[in-house]
Amino acid sequence: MSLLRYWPPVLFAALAAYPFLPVADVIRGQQFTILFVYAILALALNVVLGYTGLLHLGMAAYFGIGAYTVGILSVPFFPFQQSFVVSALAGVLAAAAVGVATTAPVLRLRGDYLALVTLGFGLIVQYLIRNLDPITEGTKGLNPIEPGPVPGFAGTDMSAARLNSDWGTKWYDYPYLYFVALGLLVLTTLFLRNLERSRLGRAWVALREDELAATCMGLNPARLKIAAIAVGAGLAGLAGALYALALHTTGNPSFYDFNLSMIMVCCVILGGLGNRSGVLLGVLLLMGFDRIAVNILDNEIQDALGSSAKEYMKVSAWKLMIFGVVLILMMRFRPEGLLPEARVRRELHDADAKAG
Amino acid sequence: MSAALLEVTDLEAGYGPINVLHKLSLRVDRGEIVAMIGANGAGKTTTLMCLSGVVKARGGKVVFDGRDLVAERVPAHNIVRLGLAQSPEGRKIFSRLTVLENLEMGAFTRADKDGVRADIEKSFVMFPILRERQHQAGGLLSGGQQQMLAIARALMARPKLLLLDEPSLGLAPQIVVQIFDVIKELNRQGMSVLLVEQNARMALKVAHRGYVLETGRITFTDTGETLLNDPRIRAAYLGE
Repeated sequence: MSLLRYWPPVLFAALAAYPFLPVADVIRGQQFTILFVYAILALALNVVLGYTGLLHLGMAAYFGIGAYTVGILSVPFFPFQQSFVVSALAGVLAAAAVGVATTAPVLRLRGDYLALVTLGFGLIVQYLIRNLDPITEGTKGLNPIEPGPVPGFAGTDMSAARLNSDWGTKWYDYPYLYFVALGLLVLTTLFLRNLERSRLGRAWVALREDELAATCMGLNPARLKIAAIAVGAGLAGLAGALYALALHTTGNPSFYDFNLSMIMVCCVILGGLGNRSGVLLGVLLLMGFDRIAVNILDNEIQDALGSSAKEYMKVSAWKLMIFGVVLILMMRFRPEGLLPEARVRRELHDADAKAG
Repeated sequence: MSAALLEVTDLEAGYGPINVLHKLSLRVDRGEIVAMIGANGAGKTTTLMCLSGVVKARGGKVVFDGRDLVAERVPAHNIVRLGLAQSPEGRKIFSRLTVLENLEMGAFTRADKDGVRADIEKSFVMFPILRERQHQAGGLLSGGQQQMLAIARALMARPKLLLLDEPSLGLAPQIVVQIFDVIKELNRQGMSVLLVEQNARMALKVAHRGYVLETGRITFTDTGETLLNDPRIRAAYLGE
């Protein structure tokens, strides 16, 4: 039981060892990198939705702002060509600033009303990305994203560090970027762990539980909510920055659309609102299924059936229906998520004990 | 320094197009228990919310400890720091936070960790059941225990004036007696209290002075005992 409780560090250690294993595969490793990025994005949403209880349906916009900031500051199309450290930092700050600027005026809105406004915000950003051709290159996306050298290293050439002929030659190739993304994910979880235990983290939870009582205790709801958005949007910007780097392009504007915001909400709720480990599990299951397991299963089916394989026989054709059924079952049988926050678990556990 | 800790003059407040308080005036002296009684919708909770800054005053003066909260536009989160803490109607316990965490939230405005720890110990002495339940979620306490926690939580801010909104709400009679004993004891130790109640009899019994609120106006004011014996009050609020 105690081992189960501490599974995230074990998982992180296993993932850190993965590229050195004989079974390691470049494609799979790159997919994992993207999974780490989504995990950071989900943890960012968890600050806003889980800790503070603000139903934000436009997190993908901050993700996009992070990605496009890195794009603009990196691609040869523009004269900036900054290193990734600079462009990622700019992405984090830009996302946090946009988050604060757009949500500050609507903080009085609660629940569903805030959800609608943030949904609208997400759509606006998505369409700006699509239509601001001179800056974003529209549906072509900004590419190639090949940032300058890492400060402290002589060049971007990592040939000397290759242990294996599969490994890339640039620091932003597999597996180096894999380690960077994993490292940032670990740092993010550590940062959030400390934040949860801080005065600010406690205040967010109190605000989520009862805003009126929190105000009577001397908490400033407006400032706390803005702080939550700033932290959440900033982390989402970081995830976006890594995403663009991992893809070597900002890709298609549809990568930053409402579907992504929504699937992140699903990850957080499936895993357990407010609980870091739960959110990680949610990402692992939902995004792992979506991005990795579906591909593997499709290939298996293709191999088994050969040319007689029809589209409807593939798992990818049923993917969304499987999502839907899983979510319905979750809400029916385990609405608190797979790994609920300790507070929720304690409440339920104590209630059981009382009843028994 | 005047004897008045809180002096409210011609207070006006409301929601949207509706004015709830009409030139309401009241006073709480240092060391006093003042009760405000009135029917549903008279404006009792609005008055307290206005004092705590959650509802904005539209006119009048609220002078607390020498400062005019209305003229200075002191925001809600700073009013606690001035020494005015409230236990709101319906208790509003943070139900998923533990009892201990609820108390700690009450001391949110304070930086003196040792003082906070000492005050938590004090609340445990005052309410031993809270010590027993300190690691349980606040939402799992019974109504009476939650009310005790709400009072203890408000006291954690070390207020000069304690506002209590309907502490007897939904509680069994013997628990109500217990709560009012606590209020008397707090007052004996020097705490000034402004108490809003539907349970007029209990409130007027412990109060030094009382105000009767009707549709946003003070209609009677006198010592608690006099109000308790006034035939009009007895007919209207004590069901006789």
